[in-house]
Amino acid sequence: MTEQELKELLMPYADGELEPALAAQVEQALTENAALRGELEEIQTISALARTAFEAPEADLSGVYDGVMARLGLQEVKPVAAPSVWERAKTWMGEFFRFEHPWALVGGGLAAAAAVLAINAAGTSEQASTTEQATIAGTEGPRRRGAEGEIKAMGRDSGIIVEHLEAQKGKVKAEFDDDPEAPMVLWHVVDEENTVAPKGL
Amino acid sequence: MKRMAKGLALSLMLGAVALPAWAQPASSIASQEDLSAREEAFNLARVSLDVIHAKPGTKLEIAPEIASFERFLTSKFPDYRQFKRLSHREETLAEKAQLKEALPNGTQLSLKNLGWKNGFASIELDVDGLQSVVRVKDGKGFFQAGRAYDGGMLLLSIEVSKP
Repeated sequence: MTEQELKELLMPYADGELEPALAAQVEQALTENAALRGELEEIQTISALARTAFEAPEADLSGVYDGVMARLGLQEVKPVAAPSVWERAKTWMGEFFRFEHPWALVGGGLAAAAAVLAINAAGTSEQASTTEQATIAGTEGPRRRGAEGEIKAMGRDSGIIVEHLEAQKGKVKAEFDDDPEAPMVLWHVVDEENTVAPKGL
Repeated sequence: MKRMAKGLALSLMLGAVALPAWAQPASSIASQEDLSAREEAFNLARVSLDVIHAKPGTKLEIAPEIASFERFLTSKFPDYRQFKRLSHREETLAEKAQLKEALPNGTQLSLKNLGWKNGFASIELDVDGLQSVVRVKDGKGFFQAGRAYDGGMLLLSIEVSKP
């Protein structure tokens, strides 16, 4: 079997769709061919990440929330001002008088009315989104954190997935980094020991 | 006519049942054994464990044998400045096999290989009440930290790879 043929079989092999005999041939080739192994791992990683993205049942968002807050804090949130009444009037009056035929005036009137409504609607939605952004940027939201003694967390970076995390005593946290090269840290902190714990524990 | 149809259906069913058994040559049984042996070899995981003692201090001191971790030690544990490796161990674990290590703080660490799936090794970690299952991509690693030891903290570096 050529390398190209083997490569084409990697996807069905990863999905467990190959006949046993064919799967055995692929496995044999995998033991001998590092490049093929690399391709398989890429396929498996992508499938695993895609699956995890859909399956993730519960997430410890405490660290994520802090990260988002930190990033939002760095950005200036510039509210978009709604157009003034004069600007709105100018817009629809201009549209109205640009029509040359009398019958178009009726249509133009209707169009202008529609434009006013549309502008109003747009202004409202812009204001709403600005208010929402300001709320996110300006307030300390609630943090989702497990109870002491029985905590489950899940997260991932490019090479680590925490499927289960639980402690009989103390607090736990799976701390991931923005840097994909940086290893994840499984923190387990017991209050009375006074070790320096990360933020959020 | 009805009887003929019944007979035909019966023979087809018998044929369907008998065909796979007839079609399976002796060599395929051998290849199944081969497959399970390969699966066993496929599920081996090489686990590398470093037990590190992290202490606060003013001057940064990182033991030379863990100097390759410097970037991560300083960024992930900024409140600690002295890092000393207390022990190092590497073991190849079969599926369901465990590595057990007595830690200097009197607790015991257990790392169990649950096998490889989709390019990730599942490792079950158990240390002093902390239980976790972490899936690690070949060649990647993680830290376990937070428990006190001798004026500082015990830091475990765990790396997993295919042997």
